[in-house]
Amino acid sequence: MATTTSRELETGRPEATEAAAGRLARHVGRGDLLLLAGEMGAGKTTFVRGLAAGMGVTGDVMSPTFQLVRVYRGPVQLAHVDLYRLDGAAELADLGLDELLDEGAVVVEWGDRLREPGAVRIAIDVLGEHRRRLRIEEAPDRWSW
Amino acid sequence: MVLVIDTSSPRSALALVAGDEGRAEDVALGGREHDLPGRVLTMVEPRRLEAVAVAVGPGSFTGLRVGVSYGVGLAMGLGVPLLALGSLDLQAARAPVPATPLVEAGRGRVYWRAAGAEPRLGDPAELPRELPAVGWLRDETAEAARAAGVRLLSDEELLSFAAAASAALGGAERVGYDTVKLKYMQSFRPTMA
Repeated sequence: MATTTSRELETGRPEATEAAAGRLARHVGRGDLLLLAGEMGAGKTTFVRGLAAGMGVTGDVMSPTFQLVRVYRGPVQLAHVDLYRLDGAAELADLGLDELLDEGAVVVEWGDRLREPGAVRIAIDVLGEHRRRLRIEEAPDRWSW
Repeated sequence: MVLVIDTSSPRSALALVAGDEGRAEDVALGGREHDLPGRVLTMVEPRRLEAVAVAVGPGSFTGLRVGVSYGVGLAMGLGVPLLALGSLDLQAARAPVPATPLVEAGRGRVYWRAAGAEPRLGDPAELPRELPAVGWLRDETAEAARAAGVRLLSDEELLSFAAAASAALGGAERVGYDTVKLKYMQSFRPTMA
C-alpha cells in the first residue's frame, strides 16, 4: 500500500476537529483500522465522535477507557477501543481486534501503542488551548481531510 | 457418554461419544451460538453425560468464548470432568490420510499446524502444499487456499465429526473448571514490552 505523509489540517476549536473527522469517514469501511495518537486532552474522543457521526453510526460516543471497547452499530459497524490501560499482549488478545475488523471498522485511542503495518495512523498535535493539528501519518493515498 | 463441543470455526459442531464410538453429531453453520443448550437437549439427556469436552482453540474469538463458557457451565453443573481438545487436533482427526489441519482465523487468514511443529497464524499462501489440508473455513478463505495450490479435502473424503471427536478424545486433557485456558492467537502486538 502506498503511503504519503504530511496530510495536515489545523483546527481552532473542537467542533472543527469533529467536522474534519466526520469528513474523513467517507474513506472508512469494513476492515479499516484507525490508530489515533495524541496526548491526554488532545481530542481523541472528540475525533471519534465526529468519525462516528460521519459514518452514520447511532449511539452516544464516549471514551471507553474503563471498558476498553465500545461497539456502535451503523451502516458499517464502528468499534471504539481505548488502549490507555493496556497491560500487554495478553490483554490485547482479549479485545478480539481480528474479529472486530471482520465485522466493521475499528478506531483506537492511544493507537500508537499498537504495532500494525497497514493501519491508518492519525496524530492530533496540541498547538494551543483549542488549536490542534490533525495529521494523516499513514493511510492509502486517496485519504485526505 | 461424552459431549464434544467445537465452536472454534464457522461451523458449530457437537458430538456424542460413547466408549470409542461416535454416536451422534450436530454440525451447523456457526454464528453467535445462542442455540447450544437447545441443540444439546435434542441430542442427549444431560444427566447421562460422564464428561464434557471443549475445543479450546485456536479459532474464532467469540466462538471459543461461547462454546467454552457453555461447556464449563454444563460440566460444572453436572459435576463431571471437563476435557480440553485442540481445535487443530479435531480437524486432523477428520482426515483418514496425513493432512495439514486448518482453522479459520478471520481477516482472510488461517491457523495451521505442520507435522511436528507449533501452530501458526498466517496467510493461506504460506500453507504447506505437500499434504492435503482439512478444516472448516469460510468460502473466501478456502478459495484463497486453493488458489495458493493447497488441496482441501472435501467432506466426502473425511470422517464424520463424531468419529473424529471420538478419535481426538484420546488426546484430550482433563482441565479444571477454573483453569481451562483458551488458545487464542492474534496477529496484533503492543509496541511496549
